[in-house]
Amino acid sequence: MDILKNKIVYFDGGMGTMLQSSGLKAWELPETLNISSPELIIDIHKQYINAGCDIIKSNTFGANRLKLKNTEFSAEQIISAGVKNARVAAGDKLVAMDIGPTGQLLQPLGTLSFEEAYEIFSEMAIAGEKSGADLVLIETMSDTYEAKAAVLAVKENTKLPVFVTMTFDEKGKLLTGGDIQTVVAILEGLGVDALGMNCGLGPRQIRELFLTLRDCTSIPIILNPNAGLPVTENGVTHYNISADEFADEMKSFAELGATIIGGCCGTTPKHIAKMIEKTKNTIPQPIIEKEITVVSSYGSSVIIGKTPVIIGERINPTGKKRFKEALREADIDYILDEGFTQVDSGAHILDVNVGLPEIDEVQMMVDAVTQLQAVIKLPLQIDSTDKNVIEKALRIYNGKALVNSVNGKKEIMDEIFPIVKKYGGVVVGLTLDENGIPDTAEGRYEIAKKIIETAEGYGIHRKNIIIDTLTLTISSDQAQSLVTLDALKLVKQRLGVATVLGVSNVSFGLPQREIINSTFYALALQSGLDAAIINPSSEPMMKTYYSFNALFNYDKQCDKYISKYSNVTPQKAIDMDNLSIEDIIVRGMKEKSYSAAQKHLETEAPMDVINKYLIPALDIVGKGFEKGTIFLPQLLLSAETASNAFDAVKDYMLKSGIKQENKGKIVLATVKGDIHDIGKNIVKVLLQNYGYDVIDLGKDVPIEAVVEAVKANNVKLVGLSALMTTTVPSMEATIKALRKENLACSVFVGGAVLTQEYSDMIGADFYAKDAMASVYYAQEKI
Amino acid sequence: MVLSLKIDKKEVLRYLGYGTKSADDNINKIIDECIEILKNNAREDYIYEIFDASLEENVIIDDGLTFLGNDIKKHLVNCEKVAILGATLGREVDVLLRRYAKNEASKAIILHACATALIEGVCDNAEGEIKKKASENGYYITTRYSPGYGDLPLEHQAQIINILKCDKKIGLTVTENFLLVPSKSVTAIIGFTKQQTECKKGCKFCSNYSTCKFKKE
Repeated sequence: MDILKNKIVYFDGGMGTMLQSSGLKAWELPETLNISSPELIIDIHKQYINAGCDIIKSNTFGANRLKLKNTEFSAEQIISAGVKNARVAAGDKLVAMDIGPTGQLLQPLGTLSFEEAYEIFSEMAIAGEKSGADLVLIETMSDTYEAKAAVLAVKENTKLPVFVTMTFDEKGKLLTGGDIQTVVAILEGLGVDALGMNCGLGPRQIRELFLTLRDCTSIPIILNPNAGLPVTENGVTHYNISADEFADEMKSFAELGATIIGGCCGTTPKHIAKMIEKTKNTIPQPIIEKEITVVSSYGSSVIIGKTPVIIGERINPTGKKRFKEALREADIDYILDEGFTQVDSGAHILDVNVGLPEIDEVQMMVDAVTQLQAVIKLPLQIDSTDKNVIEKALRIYNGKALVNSVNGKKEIMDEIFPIVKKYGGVVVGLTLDENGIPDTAEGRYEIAKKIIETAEGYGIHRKNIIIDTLTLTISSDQAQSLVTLDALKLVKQRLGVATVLGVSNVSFGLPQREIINSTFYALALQSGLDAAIINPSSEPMMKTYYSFNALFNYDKQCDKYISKYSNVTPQKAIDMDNLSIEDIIVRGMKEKSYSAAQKHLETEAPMDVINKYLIPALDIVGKGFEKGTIFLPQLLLSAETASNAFDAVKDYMLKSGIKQENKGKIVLATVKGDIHDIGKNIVKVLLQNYGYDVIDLGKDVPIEAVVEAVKANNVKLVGLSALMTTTVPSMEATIKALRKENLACSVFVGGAVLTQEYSDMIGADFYAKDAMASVYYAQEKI
Repeated sequence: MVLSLKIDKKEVLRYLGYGTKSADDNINKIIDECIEILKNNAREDYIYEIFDASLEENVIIDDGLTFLGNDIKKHLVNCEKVAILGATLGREVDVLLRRYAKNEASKAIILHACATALIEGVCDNAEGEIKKKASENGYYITTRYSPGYGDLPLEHQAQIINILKCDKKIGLTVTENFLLVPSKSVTAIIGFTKQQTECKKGCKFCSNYSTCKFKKE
């Protein structure tokens, strides 16, 4: 935008503040005034224009269809009036179509889907452009996912420039937990024109945050803080900073590098006029490109190129029977478990590869990314050879992902780079091309150079490329490991980009592979490797990692090394090794049960292990729970302990090719509209323990989804949960829908507000008063 | 995040169904871990505002917001003003609850119980502040009353969120079915009255006293 070139640009100040002082009630929607009192709105806009603003914000912050639901107006009507009011006042100054949050939380926390949010924002953006807005300001966002939906909506449906400001707390965190670097990574990745902060805090509280932001971002910074912090006196809220103080603070920000400044709550035309007066001679600071490679999730970022980064490789079916089976059964929980294990082992980024010829990889990738990002804070590496998979995953990913990968083939780069340009991301570039893998370091370096130059041609900065010089197997060509390392050095020295290697390939075909792997890993680190794709659960690899960091002075005072390796857990007094597997389950000693079950499997048949030890142990705990001698946490702990033992049995059977006998499928769902699913999750754990195959549809489950799952899997038993009286009708509707389809299934229900009477009334077959009751009912029915 | 409040382990055990009994070492250890988790991830955000109230056929707040039902009218009898409160532990707690529900259900329910104890503590804190303000102006306060209690419809969650701008200010929202998100959140109404009435606080005054599994004995 031309306006950003030579001067500090001025936004207006608060609208809500002005409206409240003219009598707006707390429960009224300020946006409806665009239609009911346009003169009032135009007058406020004019006051800001007279104060000297370059851009005024239309009074459309909450003009979305969710917030306007109970009014007589559509979003389009309110926006059209709002933008026109601003237009009338603005003259030759600019009008920013103002877009605030929807007021609802997106899934998985809330019930609003990413695509619905996108639709809501699209409607707003289209109306804004049609009514004559010059740009869009997406503001007061506290969730990067919602901001992403809004940015995509504006970019895909209008030609307007997009500014985004987010609201941080005093520690520089969003309400989702995301920090400033994360926000910058995501928004710059999406290609917004300017970004910054608004609301929440006053200028004094944002000083440090602003400096952090300035050190992260490579695009213009917007600062629209409040007029200090709110203070209530005699029931009236006002803000504690005078116009003069506000202006002084803002002046210093402009001198330090903010280029677009204005105000939010509590700021008035007086604040803004003072600010403009004091900064009119301030020359904007040049904006400097920050040459750091950053990937992020919604809540945390990882810098690649400073200290060694570990990319966990375990979410990948290659060579893994059990993982392939999980993919075929769409068993997302198994994938999540692989994720949790790697998080706990110290991974920084998780690779996600769910490609298998016989499954729908796009759908599986979308599901896996959705579920992983709902519970895991680490950034993800989207790993696929299919550009559709990569595109769909990047669209729904709440972060700036690593993308694995492109190579020097023109066709591949032409496919992938435009996607990365659109959604943001850091791309792995493999040093091979149409002619294969060069067998010299120079050859691989040349391809790396070609990849980077092509990326730059697509408008992707070289900091967003990391080069993989390809680890080959030494048992087939022993000279190649040195070529890989030499190429790594050349790429670092001459191109200055970050590097990555899949380390474990090197040892294929050799015994005790971890010896070779961990040594090669050390050599690669020494040669300048920034990110390694490894198994973080491998002890030898992690030993290399921790010792390298200690030796290279990355791990200050060897803190991490010491805390990792100095602690030997003291043995407990009782001799735990002599405990029976039943005892282990009853006591809930999770880490013991897998090996205890393995021991039994050496001499006994798998089904015997289950029927003679595991089920009886669970029964002991179940009975204790009923009698009130054992409480829910213990019941669950025992269930988890048993579950590890069942895993041992399952692994054993898979390995020895024994077909498993399944007791039957049960569908579980927390009904449409309800998001409280802890009860359902408890029931799931116990039913799985008793050998049932649980199809967990999650929470807020549409009626049709329950019916479909029952039909598709020929399910005989369905469990539904609801917490609140307001969602029990949706439970009733789900039962009705199942009955209407004449599906021969029984339905049991549970939840805080349910009673036997209620359950009868809505036509359920059984009321499960607690988790064990549902197990007994299942045993009766299946 | 450093919590200003301490989490009462006795309360946690009560929510877990232990009543006044104590838990074994295994469970105690997990409770400690969960308290630590909350220390690092929970917020203690709350917001309240004081409005004029009139008690006619229904309770009317700020000349325009109506609360339906008889029970809230009884609760606010003789009240001239009300404080409306919204409080939340924030979104990260929900993410963690989901995370543990996936592979450690025992920890998930213990974290639930700890979070419940904490949000009640946050509300007690806010109520203390409100009480102080009330007494400075010569008022006594009633106990907290929330949508969903008695015959006060859950639908009022949406109006409370709106009147306090909870979504914008503390990130507390309400779904179309009037459930609060983040899940560890509370909205409440506290009456201001000039008349000192007997404080009916505690389990004994609850209509579910005889059947409740969680009462303080």
